[in-house]
Amino acid sequence: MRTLIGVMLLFWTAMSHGAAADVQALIAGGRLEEALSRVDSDLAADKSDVTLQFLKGLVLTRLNRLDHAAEIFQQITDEHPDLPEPYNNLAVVHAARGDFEAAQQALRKAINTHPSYATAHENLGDIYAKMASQAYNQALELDEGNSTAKAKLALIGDLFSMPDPMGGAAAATEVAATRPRPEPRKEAPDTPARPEPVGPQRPEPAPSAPAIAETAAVATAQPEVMPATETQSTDATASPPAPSSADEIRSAVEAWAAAWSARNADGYLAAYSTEFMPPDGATRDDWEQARRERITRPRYIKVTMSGMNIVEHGPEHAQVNFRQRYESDAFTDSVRKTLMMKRTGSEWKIVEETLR
Amino acid sequence: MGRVIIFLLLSVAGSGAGAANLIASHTRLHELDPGQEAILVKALHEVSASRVNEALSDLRGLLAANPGFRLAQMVYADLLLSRAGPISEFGAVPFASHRQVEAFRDEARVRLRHYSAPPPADQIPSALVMLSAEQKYAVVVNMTTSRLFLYENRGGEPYLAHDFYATIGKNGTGKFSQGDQKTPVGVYFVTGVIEPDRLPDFYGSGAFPIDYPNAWDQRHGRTGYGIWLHGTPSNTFSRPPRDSDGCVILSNADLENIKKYITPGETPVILADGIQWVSRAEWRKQREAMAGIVEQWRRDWESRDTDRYLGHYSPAYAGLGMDYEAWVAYKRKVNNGKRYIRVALSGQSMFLYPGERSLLVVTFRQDYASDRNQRRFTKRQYWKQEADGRWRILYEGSVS
Repeated sequence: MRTLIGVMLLFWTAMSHGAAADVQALIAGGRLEEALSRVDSDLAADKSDVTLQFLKGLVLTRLNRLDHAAEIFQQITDEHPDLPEPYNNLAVVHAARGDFEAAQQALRKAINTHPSYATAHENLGDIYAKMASQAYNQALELDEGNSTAKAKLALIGDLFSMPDPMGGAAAATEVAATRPRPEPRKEAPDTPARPEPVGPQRPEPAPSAPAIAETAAVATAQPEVMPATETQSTDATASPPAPSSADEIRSAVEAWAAAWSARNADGYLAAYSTEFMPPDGATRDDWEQARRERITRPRYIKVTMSGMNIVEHGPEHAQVNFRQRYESDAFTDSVRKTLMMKRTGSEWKIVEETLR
Repeated sequence: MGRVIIFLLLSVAGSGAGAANLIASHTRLHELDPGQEAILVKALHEVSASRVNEALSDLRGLLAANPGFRLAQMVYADLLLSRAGPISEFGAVPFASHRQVEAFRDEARVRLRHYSAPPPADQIPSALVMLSAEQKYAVVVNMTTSRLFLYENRGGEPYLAHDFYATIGKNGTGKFSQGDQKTPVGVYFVTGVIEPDRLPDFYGSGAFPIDYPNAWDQRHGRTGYGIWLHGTPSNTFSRPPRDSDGCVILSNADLENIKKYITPGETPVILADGIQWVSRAEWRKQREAMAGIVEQWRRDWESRDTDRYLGHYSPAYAGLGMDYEAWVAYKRKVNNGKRYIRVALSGQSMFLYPGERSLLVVTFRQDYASDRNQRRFTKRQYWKQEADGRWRILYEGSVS
């Protein structure tokens, strides 16, 4: 089963919130228990810090302490009913507990606060699908394992700050429940503060094209806490600074784009890790075949990238953001893309690809 | 807004009017596509796994080819609704009545069940004891699971050739009286074929009457007539599992498909409330045992030992207008003093009667010759295993 529920992060206060950044770093390093005790001790100093409350809810969600997480998010929504993100996350927790009715209500509230809140709309669509599934399973005595009992969370612990409270700090992504959790990522500094409107379904923008219309894997990048960029981000995430593999990663991404431009399907597909999950629940074979067709059909393809930003999360994971311009005899578009890269032996491979 | 769109879609696709629909139903009559149910089942499984988009796309394809598939129409409408808001039940669409939704749900369930629990591989319904060489195919309907099975006779042994979703009577099975809207349980034979041009559209692509009420039904005072296998109206792909006045209904495509396998006067139609499956080895044993019983009767008749011969008849016998007493008296009289009796049986078939304990329907062509006369006709017997374990004849008569 595929899960489409993302968790939003929110920081609308404290441009340079040191405590939050530390907790962020602990989450990024997968040190959740430590993150929890740190956030608890910081909250002891300032109970009203909504950023820390939000982080606590996030950590608890990742620790699968869902009842407690729900309490936290519920409390934030009570105190700040104008913010969409806590509602969204509350919905995620409700869905993870199998309570789609409550999830739906929370998402509706998120949308009421911000009618254009794309992620909540998408999540609501997923909840509706789950509810339809539940109704049908009950009526027809169908049971696909226990897939519909609960919407399992695939938490993406995207941590980034946003200076603009209305900036829709969204980092949702689609991840299969069975898939190893991607490492938390830092967002790029050169990206707009607001999500770009998601266009209608495009004929050939990118491998995750269907995801745009169906699931809108939105990963809105936010400016860093500090105006400065990568140096800070590495400080914030990795405790022991690892030697940078940025050049290797960059050339892996460039090779991917070059193979695409050369309509070299084999080279293009080789850039994807075996862990890569095709969008929309397609099988790997079907996805590969569809990609092959898309890549070889046009008479020419030109893929160019600009504004590439690489954020490493430890020695084996990295996130690459860039603007991708795709041009072929049939179609042209320009999108913002995020690739999650993983080191596999001596090579960097794509494990996740999202558009926004 | 969303509902308005759905209404429009359905009124275009579901009404049975319009050129596209005519073309589609015409195509359906002339093109066999056994995958339609499989597509529906796939879509329902996709819904179950929350893959609503995939389900919608499969259903779109299915409905483009079969706009009269109302169950699929309703599921499709439900799923469209579920994109705009929560649906809390199967049949969430506002246009379907409670009864319609129940009927659709039953249809979906039985179709799904067939896929999740298909009949056991290489097992045979025990009712099909023996097929004659003329019976190239046999029909067995499990009315509990709404499934019609078509068996092919290969070298005297039945092999499953096809199976289809089938509709039976509104009030279920066990027909007893005219107008009770039940489908009979028993061993029947197709008596004819009626082509669609001689039928109202209601019966679809043709009809095969069967011989209800048979001798057993008449013995039990069951009434009614006109039990057919037939198709569906041209704007209807399938009907709910229990929807007929007693007939067995297939989709037009499925009826078209079995037409070529059905021989009026020969093809048996076993209507059962459940199927007892036996392995091929068990089936062969059963066939030998049953054949032996009838063979002993034939020999004892030829032996001119009237007591041994009459020992094959039950005290509950009734046939040819005679009860047991009259039958015994008659036999004693006619067999007395014959110098020889020769009885040859051919084209033998045997079926266990569903819903009855150990009742066997035996049909054969009988060549009888004695020093006094000679007759040749097709005979049908009902044998019953009685309390002492012996099989005896309850009824026999000619088949017209």
